Amino acid sequence: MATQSNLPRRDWKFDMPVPVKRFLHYATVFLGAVVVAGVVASVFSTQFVIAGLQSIDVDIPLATRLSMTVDDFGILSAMLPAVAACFLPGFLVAGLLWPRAPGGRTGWFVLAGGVALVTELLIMQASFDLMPIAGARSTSGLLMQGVAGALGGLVFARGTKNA
Amino acid sequence: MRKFVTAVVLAWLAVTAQAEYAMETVAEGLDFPWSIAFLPDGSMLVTERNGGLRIIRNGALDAAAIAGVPRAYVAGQGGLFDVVLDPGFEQNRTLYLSFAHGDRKANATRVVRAVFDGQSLVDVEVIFTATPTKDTPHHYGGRMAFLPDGTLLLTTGEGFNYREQAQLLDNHFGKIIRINTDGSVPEDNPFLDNPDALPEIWSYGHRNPQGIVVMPDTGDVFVHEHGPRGGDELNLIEPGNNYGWPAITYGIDYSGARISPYTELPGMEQPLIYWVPSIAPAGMAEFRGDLLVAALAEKTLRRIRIEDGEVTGQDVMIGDLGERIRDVRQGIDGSIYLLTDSARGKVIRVVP
Repeated sequence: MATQSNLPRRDWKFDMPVPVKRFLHYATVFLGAVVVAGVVASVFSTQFVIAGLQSIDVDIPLATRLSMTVDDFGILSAMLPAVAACFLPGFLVAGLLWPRAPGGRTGWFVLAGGVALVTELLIMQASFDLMPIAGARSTSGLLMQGVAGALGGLVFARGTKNA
Repeated sequence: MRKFVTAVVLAWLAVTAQAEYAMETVAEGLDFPWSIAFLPDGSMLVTERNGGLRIIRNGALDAAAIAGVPRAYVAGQGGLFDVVLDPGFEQNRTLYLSFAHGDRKANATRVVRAVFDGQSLVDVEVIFTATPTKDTPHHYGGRMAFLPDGTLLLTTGEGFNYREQAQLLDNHFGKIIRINTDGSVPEDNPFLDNPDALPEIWSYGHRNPQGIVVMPDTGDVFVHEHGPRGGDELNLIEPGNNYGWPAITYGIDYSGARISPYTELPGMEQPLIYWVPSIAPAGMAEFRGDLLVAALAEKTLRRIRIEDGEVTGQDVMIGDLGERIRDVRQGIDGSIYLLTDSARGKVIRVVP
């Protein structure tokens, strides 16, 4: 006959140290922000490339637009590391600045994401004397890449708000 | 279509068996040699992309560069490009140079003609400057060749960031230009009746054409051009035709993104050959009725078999040089001459 132990029941759930938990949370949100920014940047770039083709009277039906947009996700393997590389210092700076500067936390990360991506593209353009993302050759195309970066910043700010 | 498919299949089935050729270095220590021209006395003029025009006399490279060469804008892919002798060079000592002109913010492909007095260039005269200028140091084209009627063809690139301009006729981006030797426009250029077109344009829709050959027997004009990632092309050029860039292409962007969803569209010419992956064709010569193509990326010399203006096959003629090949020409001695693309570039003589 089984007897009930008087010892307290042992909880076998592994409890990670708080700093590790926070790090993993930040890393996950960071990756999510990078993916969102990369995907949106790719979509924007494709639309600007298509607009360029339409400007020379090339007809692009909706189905073709969609398939080309999806095909272009192939650039993400190269683009996501590049986005991560610019977001990392950008978000670090935003994280240091926002408690000491006016404006809300979210705003600083949105700004950091946008500025980081545009700055990286401009640095690459200056280094190679060409714009590596075809959809960012025009000023409006470059600004939309900044919008993609800003969306990444928004994701990061929201995802780490209560962390 | 069937012929085209045959040509493509032949291209893909390129035979790589290489015959043995004797090779000797004629000159070395050239700074990114770009083009070579053979003077009637057996000497050779060689352009260097850094702006120098050098001469090889009696088998030796003169230490000093030839004086009087206009200053080129040397940056990126820009610099001094082609040197071509006037068909009447023996009488008039005239030659033509193409080069990047301008500065970082505003540059363009330019052509000058000049008289070579044996030591320096004199009477240098600008006969063509592409318009408008651009702010990138890439994709200048820059190859020249004479048509049998004595008019001069020049290839121009689309400046990389301006690719859509290759489809528009109000600029010189991505075109083949035809002018008289004094820079005037021939009266039978194809777009003279179009008030919106620049009159020098002979064909359009090119990316960065860097090889041009006018076949001596037929007058056929073959041009090859760099594609982006894949999509290098060899085209047979007809005046007034549209060669498609960037509306149609077999290449994709360096980023991996699509440039266009189309490889063919009505009103646009298909290439005789396209290369995927890119070989980076950078210079071309006629040789025994065929074409020789110098390849930078593939580091080969390819022979393109031509019959009745059509490609019947291709093979790698030289594939073991191990160096990027910038240009190929046939000398007046019948030998093939190669230029290697490096800061210590060579002129190599190949005896078939």
